[in-house]
Amino acid sequence: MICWRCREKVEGPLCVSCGALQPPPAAPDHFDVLGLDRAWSVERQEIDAAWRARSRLVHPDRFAAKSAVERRMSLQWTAAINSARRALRDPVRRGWYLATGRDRPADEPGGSLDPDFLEQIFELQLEAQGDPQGVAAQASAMRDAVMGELDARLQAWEQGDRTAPPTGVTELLDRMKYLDNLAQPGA
Amino acid sequence: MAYSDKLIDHYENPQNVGSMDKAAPDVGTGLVGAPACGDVMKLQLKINDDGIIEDAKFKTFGCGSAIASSSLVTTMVKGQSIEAAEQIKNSDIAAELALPPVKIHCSVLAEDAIKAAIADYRKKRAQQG
Repeated sequence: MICWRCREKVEGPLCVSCGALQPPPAAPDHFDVLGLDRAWSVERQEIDAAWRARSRLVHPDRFAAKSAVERRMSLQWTAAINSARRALRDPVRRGWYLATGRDRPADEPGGSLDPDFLEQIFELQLEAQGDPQGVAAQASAMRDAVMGELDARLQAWEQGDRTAPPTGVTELLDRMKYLDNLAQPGA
Repeated sequence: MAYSDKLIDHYENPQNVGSMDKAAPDVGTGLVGAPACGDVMKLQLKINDDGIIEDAKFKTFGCGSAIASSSLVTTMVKGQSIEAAEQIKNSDIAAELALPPVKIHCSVLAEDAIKAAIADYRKKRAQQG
């Protein structure tokens, strides 16, 4: 990219030549926005650290006395890094983003889930009315098993060239919330 | 955010909670779920030979809006023909309960449950020949 102010080549949010804030990408990739490699195995602390580093560069306080253009870009950058942090911090959200290239809306209606699994969840919910702790322990073990499988598949994907999105993971991700609800009743 | 009286009423006094024999030839069962929130909804319809829904029962594990949506649906479909029940849209449910935008997906789940229950009933009928 070319700096909009001094016409030098730029990478990242700020121009190294003139210090001008650059516009955030039009269709931002959450990993790009934070300056991270596209990966599954990334610690929460790494994401937080990347977010903090970017936040220091693009924070609106730094641009309060600058031009209207830069003030607006600073707000756009801040929104973009905040969304990126939210989408990548949680492993389930991160897996979803890697697999689909988008954030999952909180109100997304039903998917096509294995009917036997749904039946099992329903039965566990019924059982939980009498024995919440027993069911919570069972659901927690099931959740760990799904997470283990998810982790194995995404690590295998990570070993490749990472150009194509990982496959076969959305169905596993779809199971997580049902199991979370059972594993942490009232949470 | 204020919920409508109707929604609160269906949540606090849900209608037609329960279950029917899943194996009965005149009972259609719809089990649907929303992976984003983890809600599960089971709707069962008892349908007579004239294709009229004689009874409806539901059991929902989820938020208040999901419970109210499924409760409302049982009251809407009772006494209706299958064809009329199939015409019920999630927007009808959402409007009736004045669901806030973030809860519209609960009404989608309820519409899916009706369709799934009817499909299950039809499949049973077809298998009986």
